Amino acid sequence: MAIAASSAVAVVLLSACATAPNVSYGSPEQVETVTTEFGSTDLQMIAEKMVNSLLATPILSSGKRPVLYVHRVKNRTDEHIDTKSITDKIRVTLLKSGRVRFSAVNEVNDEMIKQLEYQTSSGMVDPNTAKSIGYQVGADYFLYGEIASIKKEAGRVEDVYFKFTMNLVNIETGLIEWADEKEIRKQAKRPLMGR
Amino acid sequence: MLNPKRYVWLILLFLVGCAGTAPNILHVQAGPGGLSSKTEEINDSSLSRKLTFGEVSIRPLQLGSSMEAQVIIQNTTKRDVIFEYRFMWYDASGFELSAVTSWIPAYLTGKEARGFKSTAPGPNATNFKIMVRRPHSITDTGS
Repeated sequence: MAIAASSAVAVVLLSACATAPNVSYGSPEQVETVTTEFGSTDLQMIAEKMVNSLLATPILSSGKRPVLYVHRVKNRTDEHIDTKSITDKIRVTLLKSGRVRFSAVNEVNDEMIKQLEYQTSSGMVDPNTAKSIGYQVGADYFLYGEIASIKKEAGRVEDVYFKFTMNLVNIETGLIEWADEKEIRKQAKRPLMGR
Repeated sequence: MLNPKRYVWLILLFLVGCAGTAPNILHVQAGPGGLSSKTEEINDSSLSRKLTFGEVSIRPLQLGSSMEAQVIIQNTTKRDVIFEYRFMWYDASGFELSAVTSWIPAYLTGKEARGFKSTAPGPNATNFKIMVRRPHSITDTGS
């Protein structure tokens, strides 16, 4: 009887060890504070600030729908940050506002040239539907920026400061017509016990 | 044996511990000259004792193009308050307009009042709401 009971306990314990991790879906809009490293909420906070600020500039609110392209965001932090996902989020939200247009030239220019050559020179495409060379729209402005961080650790406390800066440059004049920054501070305190 | 009164306290503590994170909401209707009307929806009375919605300002950006809104949030306590807020914009038909609408963590020191700004995603925006709730990070879920 005692052997049977202890076997049952062992089976229960073993099955508990073999249990798969508890996976659940969450809202992408939820605030994420798992670690102090750059995370989804930081990306969303930066995008929110930049989009609000850009939409409020006379350049974007004049109704002329200027053409922009994103040059790049330089990562000056000591961690890997996919800066393109930050600029993609900003670009998508700005495009959805309908107040701006984006040129894809700096991202997929090779593909466009290949496709135009195929349509105009291969003899495979109906000339009535083939797109002509020389009609790309020239960009009016481009966006560029950088992200930097300062990280400090003392005892159980870790403090991280991120600063994201973005600029909008008028291609014709070379003037920076708009600039804004977003500062983020994150702190973590490790528990006394544990890792 | 536990006193029945203690059971009541335990149940109350449990209920407080399980209190939801339904946000307090300020619904704002914009008119041609700026603010038309505003309505408060209090779902978290304990938070509304710490943070109150103040003045709402709406200004056009360019003729007929879009608008920018600012809502003052006041920390009525002497202590620092950490919270989350979120703006959502709608057109006249009630359709939500696409914009960055994530929950944003924010911080107000004791007695501080600060303006929280948002720009309408398009010229068809007619009203918005700002929601405020206690910190509700991803690590709080699943508990």
